[in-house]
Amino acid sequence: MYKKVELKDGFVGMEKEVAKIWKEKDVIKKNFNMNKGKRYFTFYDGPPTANGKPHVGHIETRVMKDIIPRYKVMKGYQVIRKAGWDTHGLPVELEIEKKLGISGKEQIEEYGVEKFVKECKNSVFTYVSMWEDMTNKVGFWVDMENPYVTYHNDYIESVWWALKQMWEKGLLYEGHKVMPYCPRCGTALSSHEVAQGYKDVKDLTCIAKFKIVGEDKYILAWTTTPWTLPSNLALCLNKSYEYAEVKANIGTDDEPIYETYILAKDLLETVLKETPYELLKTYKGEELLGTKYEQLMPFAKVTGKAFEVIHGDFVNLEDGTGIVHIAPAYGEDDSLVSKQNGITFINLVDKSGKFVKEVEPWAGKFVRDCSEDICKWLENENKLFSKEKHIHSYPHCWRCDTPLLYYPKESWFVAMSKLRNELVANNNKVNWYPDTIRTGRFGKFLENVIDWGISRDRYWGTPLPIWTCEDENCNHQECIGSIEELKEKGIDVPEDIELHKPYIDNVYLKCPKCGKKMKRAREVIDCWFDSGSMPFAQWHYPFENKEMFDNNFPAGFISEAVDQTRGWFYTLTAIGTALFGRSPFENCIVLGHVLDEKGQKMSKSKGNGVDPMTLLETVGADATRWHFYTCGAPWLPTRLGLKSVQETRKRFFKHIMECLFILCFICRNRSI
Amino acid sequence: MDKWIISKLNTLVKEVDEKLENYDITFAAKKIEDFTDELSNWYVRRNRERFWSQELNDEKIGAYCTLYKVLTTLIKVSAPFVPFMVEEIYQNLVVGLDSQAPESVHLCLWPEVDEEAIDKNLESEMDLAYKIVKLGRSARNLSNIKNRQPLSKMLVSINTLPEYYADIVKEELNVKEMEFGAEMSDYVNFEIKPNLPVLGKEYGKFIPKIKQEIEKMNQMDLANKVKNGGTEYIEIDDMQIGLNSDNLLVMMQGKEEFSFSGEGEIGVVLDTHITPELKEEGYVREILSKVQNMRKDNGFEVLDNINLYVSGNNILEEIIKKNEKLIKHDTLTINIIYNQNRSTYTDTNINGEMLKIDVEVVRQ
Repeated sequence: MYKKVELKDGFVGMEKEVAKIWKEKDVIKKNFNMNKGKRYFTFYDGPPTANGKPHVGHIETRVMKDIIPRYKVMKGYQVIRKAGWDTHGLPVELEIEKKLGISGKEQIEEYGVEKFVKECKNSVFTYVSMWEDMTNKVGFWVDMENPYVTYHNDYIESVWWALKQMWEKGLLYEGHKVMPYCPRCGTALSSHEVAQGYKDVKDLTCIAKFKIVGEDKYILAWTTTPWTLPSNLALCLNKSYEYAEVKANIGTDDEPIYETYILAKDLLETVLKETPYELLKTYKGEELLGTKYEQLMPFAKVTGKAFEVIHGDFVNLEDGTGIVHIAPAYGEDDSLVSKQNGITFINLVDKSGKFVKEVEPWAGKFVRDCSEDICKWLENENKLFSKEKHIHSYPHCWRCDTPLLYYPKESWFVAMSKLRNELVANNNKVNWYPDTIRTGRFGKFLENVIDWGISRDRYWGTPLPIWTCEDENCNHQECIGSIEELKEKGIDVPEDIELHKPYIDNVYLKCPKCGKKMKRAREVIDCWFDSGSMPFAQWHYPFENKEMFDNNFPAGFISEAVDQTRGWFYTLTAIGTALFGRSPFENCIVLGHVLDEKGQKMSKSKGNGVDPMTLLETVGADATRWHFYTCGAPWLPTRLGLKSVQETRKRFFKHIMECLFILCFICRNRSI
Repeated sequence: MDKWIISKLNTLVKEVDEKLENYDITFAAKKIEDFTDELSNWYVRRNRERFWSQELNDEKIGAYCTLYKVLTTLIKVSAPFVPFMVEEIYQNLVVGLDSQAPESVHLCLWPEVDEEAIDKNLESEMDLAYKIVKLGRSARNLSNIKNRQPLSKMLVSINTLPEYYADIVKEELNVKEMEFGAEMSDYVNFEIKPNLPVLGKEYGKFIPKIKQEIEKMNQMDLANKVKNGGTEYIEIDDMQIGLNSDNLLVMMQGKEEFSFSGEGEIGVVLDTHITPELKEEGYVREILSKVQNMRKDNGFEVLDNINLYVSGNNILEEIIKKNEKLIKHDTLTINIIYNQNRSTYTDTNINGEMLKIDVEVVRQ
């Protein structure tokens, strides 16, 4: 007898019954195993982190990820869909720091790295049952019984293999670039991480007066980071611009005080504003090159070439004075132009972002908190022309929200800039939905790709498998690409070695060149390298499952939210290009964000978020799915609330219910 | 009708397949949604007599078989979208009946397309008929005239529709006559105004001149052009201004005793003038409907004969007497008894006239 399906309870009861049927008949596994021996269709699941709770955006991704594999199964493909968990990285460490009530690397060392790493490992599945429950309820069929887990030894081994491939291709190098650095986390950030954290901030900016040696004239230079002024070593102008020397009255009409300034001619009005002045003469920037000036702030003892006017192409006339103050340690342009001109190097900031003791007035203070004081100091010394608050976009740590500093860090890089053309070409073969991502947001990013800083001076991550000979005259380096190789080259490697810190740090190699001990680089790697390695690491390739990998690379389909153009979409493309010469996916649906019913961003503070489980348990999975499929293209923002999903349900399911009502009578009359 | 829905079904299977193949989920879902609307609001509605007929004849079996085929295919096409509900339906409709069928809808393959069953001509004609009906319904809504009140005439802008479909349209909309190729401007008032918040912002002081220009133009042509997304250019003081649906407000309203509704190229006008004959017919239809409802409410069997008691309205009494034969036939009434004193009357509103009605079963 036909059971009548009730609309009233939002199908939730019905959905639970159906889930029971699937379980009883083992339907999900049978679906995974359908079409065995037929053509493969592969889906890659971008791994979420299970140490945080799922939010409603995750429902959207799961709903979109689910539909294509289901369809492909019906079309006769064998569809591989392995679930994955992203487990390494700073977010996990931050949670544990919070839980233990400690902060920063010093306190972690004090607490004990082994204990700390164990805590991290135990925490990564904190909310896994919530994730599994949500995944089941929404009907996302993905193999959660055999997921790939990025912290497993097998997974790490595959990542090591990838790094070794890059090492052998000469793509892995140790650099000393000035890098965006989070003083709170104590780690350098990669460019795609930096790109995730730009925010408008109001900073104190100032124009300082740099006195020319032996003359009563000042060069004016603008900076948005007054804390870099104690480390000033050069002034940079553009030799093709015209510069002016002016006599300005900075007193009053009755009691004039005259000073002579040098700055770009085109910027006279914007810089001097109301200050009355008289133009003395103008000259090409070229004529000023090599001019010596006095050290602005007397804290650092500087030896070597410094305090000179130099040229840089990057200097423009958009803002400032047409003359840029250079502190080689804290900016990419600064570092480069200093190297080109043989300017020496000083660093007056420690790794936690505080002034070192030489900077007496502010030693031990966080540099960004010193802007006011520095301006006051300059004012007292008559070295300040003007100061004002200025709103500009400044990068923040995407995790802990601390303003980043540019800081000279020793760091390991993948030379992605060498592969720029290949990246662009490979990406052009991918079908993006919408296509504008290919040429726009993602394509532009690839065209300007810079080297990927992959090392992280942290604890919970895939260790960088590079060992350096401790003998300073030898300095030989080895990159290890497998556990077997580690055992072969290492000294007394434990049989069941766990590849994490701190265990791996106790493994020394014997230097094949000089026979002395080799020590591992202390860093771990960017966890985005982990997830970007999933096409092969999920199979422990090339150590196992070679055929499985060959049959399932590249993926036919992936889908994630639009912010992954700087994240997973990028690292997949980067690693795929470096290792296999192609993009690891063929089709990608990019998803827009989920907004509330009024089109506002959901946020904790506004309390307008929709709890994913409430949604699934009041209006049901099918209605929620249908809502995401029908209300606009996937890449546009989706407005969602309990009410709007209910309306969707009424709109669509009403019709089917009516037809079913009629068909109920079929079963009353089996003879038909 | 069966051929049409089966043709639509095969087209659906094909189109959803194509869309999903190209990762166009939104469009695929829209196709399914449109189909369910047509299935429920058109196919099932138009065939209700077949579905609910008392005897088990070929017509009834055909309708059920068609609906069964449609639903069991529809759930497969919908399976990737709404996996729970389709499984519930599949378990009920298929697993119980067919022991050979896979045990879950999610272990089924994509349905085959029967190209032979697709008849594009049939689809487009029926789609057109359905579209005219939808427009006609909205025109009725605008004029506040119930569907049970027959109307004499409807006028449509299209030039022709095969008789079969025209009959369906007339029946659905309860009109006696359908006139094709009607000039809409004869029946419709157009009011075209500048959308001030938009147009005013850009051409503030030219608005009076723009209004003059608009008035000079053929209102029907302009309205149609703008409604279909076109742009009409006018020149004012050597300045070219494009008029379109963003900066104009276009109102179309039926002239007196006409009600209009339109979409794109298709316009539908209902002649809402109700003659005394139509009014009488409207009363009869309303009485029939009320009596049928009372039969149902009282739990009578469909084949029960009844006596019908009416009282309290002279006008309606006359009309009932005039149409006694029809009323008796349609409601299985043996006797109609007028103005008897009864305590069980129900006061009913028959298009504004109050009438006391009662029904009782006649036992043989």
